[in-house]
Amino acid sequence: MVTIKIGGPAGSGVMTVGTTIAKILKKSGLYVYTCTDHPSLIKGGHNQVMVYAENHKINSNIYRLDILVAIDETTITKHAQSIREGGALIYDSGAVKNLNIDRKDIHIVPVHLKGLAEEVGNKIYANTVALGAICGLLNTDEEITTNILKSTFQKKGDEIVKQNIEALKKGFDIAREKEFDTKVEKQEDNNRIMIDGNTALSYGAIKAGCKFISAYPMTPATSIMQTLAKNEMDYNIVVKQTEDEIAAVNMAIGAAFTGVRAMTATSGGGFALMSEALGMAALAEVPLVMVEVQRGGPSTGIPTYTAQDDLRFVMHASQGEFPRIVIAPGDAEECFYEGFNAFNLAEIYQTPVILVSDKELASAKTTIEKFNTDNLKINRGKLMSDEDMKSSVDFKRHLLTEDGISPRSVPGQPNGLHVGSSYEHDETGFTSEGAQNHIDHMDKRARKLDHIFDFVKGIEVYGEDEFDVQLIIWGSTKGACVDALPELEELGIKARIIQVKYVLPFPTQQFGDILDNDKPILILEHNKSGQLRGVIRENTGILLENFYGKYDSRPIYPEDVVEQVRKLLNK
Amino acid sequence: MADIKDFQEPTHTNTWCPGCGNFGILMSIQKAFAQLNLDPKDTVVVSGIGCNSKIPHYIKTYGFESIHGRALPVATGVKLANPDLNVVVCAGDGDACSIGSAHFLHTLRRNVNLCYIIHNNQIYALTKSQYSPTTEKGYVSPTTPHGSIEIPFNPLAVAVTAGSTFVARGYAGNIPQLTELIKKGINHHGVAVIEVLQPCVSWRKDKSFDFYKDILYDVADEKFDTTNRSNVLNFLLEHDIYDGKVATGIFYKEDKPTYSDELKIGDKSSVAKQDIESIDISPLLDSLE
Ligand SMILES: Cc1ncc(C[n+]2csc(CCOP(=O)(O)OP(=O)(O)O)c2C)c(N)n1
Ligand code: SF4
Ligand SMILES: [Mg+2]
Repeated sequence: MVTIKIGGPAGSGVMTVGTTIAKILKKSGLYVYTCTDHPSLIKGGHNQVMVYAENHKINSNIYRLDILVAIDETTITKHAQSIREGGALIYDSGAVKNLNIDRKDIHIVPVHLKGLAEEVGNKIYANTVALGAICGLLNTDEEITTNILKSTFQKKGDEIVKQNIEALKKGFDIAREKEFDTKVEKQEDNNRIMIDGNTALSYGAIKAGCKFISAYPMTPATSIMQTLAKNEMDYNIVVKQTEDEIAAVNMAIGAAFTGVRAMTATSGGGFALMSEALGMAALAEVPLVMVEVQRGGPSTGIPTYTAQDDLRFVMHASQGEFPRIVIAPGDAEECFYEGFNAFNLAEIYQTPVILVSDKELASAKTTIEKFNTDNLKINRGKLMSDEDMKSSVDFKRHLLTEDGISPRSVPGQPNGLHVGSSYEHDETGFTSEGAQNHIDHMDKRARKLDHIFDFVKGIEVYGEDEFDVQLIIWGSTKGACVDALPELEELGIKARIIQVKYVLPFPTQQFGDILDNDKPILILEHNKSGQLRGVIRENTGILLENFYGKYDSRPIYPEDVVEQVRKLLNK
Repeated sequence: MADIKDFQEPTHTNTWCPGCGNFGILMSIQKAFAQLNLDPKDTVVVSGIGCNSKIPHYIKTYGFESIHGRALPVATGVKLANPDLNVVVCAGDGDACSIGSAHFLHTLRRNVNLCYIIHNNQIYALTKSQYSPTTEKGYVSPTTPHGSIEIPFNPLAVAVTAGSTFVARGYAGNIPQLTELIKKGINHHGVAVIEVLQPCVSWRKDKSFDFYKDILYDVADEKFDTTNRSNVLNFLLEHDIYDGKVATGIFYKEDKPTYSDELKIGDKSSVAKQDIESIDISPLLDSLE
């Protein structure tokens, strides 16, 4: 349908134009995907936002560019060449003095943003003029457009709303004259929602009864803490910004020890600081939910861009051997449902659960059907009720059981006294360095997850039953692959996507059952070394020869997938 | 009233050296708990790692022996999740003033309602006698064979500066006084820091019970003003624990709302006890455009 890129200096309101056009397109009944591309700067530097809208569900951004909106010259230099034939360039003729491009095949729409804004009354309306120009090209529905403006500026009073509408009209009228080939027809928006992965994950956590988050701000994870903070009053959530990530994870463990569902969220650097406590949670058998939202590493790396390069890190961080669950949701829906499940699993297995996301997944907004919460049931595992504990005798917090999971009491409950401990301990929790005791408790903890795949699906499969090629992926790479299926189909290629959603424990059996060794296989990851590829080989013995690793810190696009598949199949 | 026996854990073999100062601290905590009539099920003793930090295993309440330096954040999590619990935290001078020093500062300025007992033996005891942040300058230890170079960390002066609302010093050899300090620290509505001079009979024979016998006095006997923060700070800076007479007792006390009192949350009762069965998130989803 249509892709729009809006670029300008940081702080120039590019993001607001993007969000507002996204809302208008969504209200017009389209499926919208938006993401931002900005350096780690507050002012200065170049920001861009991409808005992509379709008549059907979309899960990723694409390279094709239909409309470019340039608030500055940099945007033109960087992106004008990518505008498709018949596309349009809207640019601020106030800011860009000499337009220096050689494109006869596109519509060029100069708009004096500040000048027109001042005609309305104030240069602050410049962004709204730009927005109007986009709406004009696409001929968006007037009622929808003005309603969105109204709801955006309502708080600032009627006069501001009125002037914004006038400013929008200025831009609209100029662009309306162009005979742009794509027009937006109003359709029913069917009550769909537009949401990013971090918000979806946060809502999953709230639905799961998470009432405690302690965290330290770190891009791109911060919005999780912020979303919970926004809802602290209505949903009774203790939100604690801590002095560092070490405090964050230890506080969450202390909170979880009392029986509250608790979490922490960070990116790679913060996760490094949390490593020691992660092992403690596992040894003390405290349910802990951690979120690691990846960004381009190593070290501070490329903080505002995306990557999938911490998989091995979250799988192996912390000394010693202990069970942990690593879940890699692939889209906003999975962020929500797995965000919910994580809290059940942490309590059922009394061990840390790590959700691994990434910048693209965390911050790109997609349009999806409203979550269905009917089937979401709270399962607190072997957490004892006060009633159970009243009659309890000789309670052993780390009782050696067949399934490896012990009854759990929490402070405040009678007859359940014990010490949670980072030392190896006996069944009561008391420190023990006995050789056999260590073996017994290592084995006990290890067997906890033996049957996890009786309850959860470790692998998801998309695409036809008949296929020519298998794409193996984890995390946000799912979006680009799913979106590549129709184009591959057009090329006569039937692809099947195998998504590894639970990486630890690895769903070896299921993976083996699904993989067809006789058909071509391509594994795609957003890292250099092929981290999942290594995990697969380690668990199944299968060496996947064909690996596409992208590590430029920009998301994988459907076009990349198509190109890689064609290369592999020589088509 | 509860009995001290209610808080003793006879089945857990104690592994402290005979004569260790930690025994006096243990007994004072148990006595304080008994005299305050605390319910063991509503009490949590949190520690870090070190000789001192074995203490939760010897007290019959809930407990958590965490990792080195992290007792305070774990305890903060416990207290913020369930403010109905009595939370007592034990840590060594290494835990408190070195590896966990950031948490020390920040827990105090938050005024989390807990009682923090620092077992100050001026040595890393569990790792066998390296100098600690509270060891005096020039001290010869395995890692400073030619004498340490740093000046010592003054935990109570730091506590006053960071905003602690209760600051006291006790001595492991004076159980009646220490018991009273701990009782007052627990009853204090806010964060209470109690530094305890703790003889380590194995590694600091120079700071034995004998050493402390005649040098301690209680500021309560001198009509000490416990309300003027800057005077208290001056006093603590001028009178450290290394020379001459060493002051004990309560130095500073202030009444202020605790972190839990001020928590920005709809319902301030324990989040650990709230029902989570059927949380309705439809308002959140409806608000998404
Ligand atoms: C992260 C980490 N670093 C180092 C250690 C080793 N370690 C254990 S206890 C300790 C110091 C103990 O000194 P202190 O806190 O004063 O307690 P004490 O033994 O004197 O009671 C050290 C360095 C550790 N357990 N964890
Ligand atoms: S080494 Fe020192 S502190 Fe540790 S138990 Fe022995 S006497 Fe006590
Ligand atoms: Mg010490």
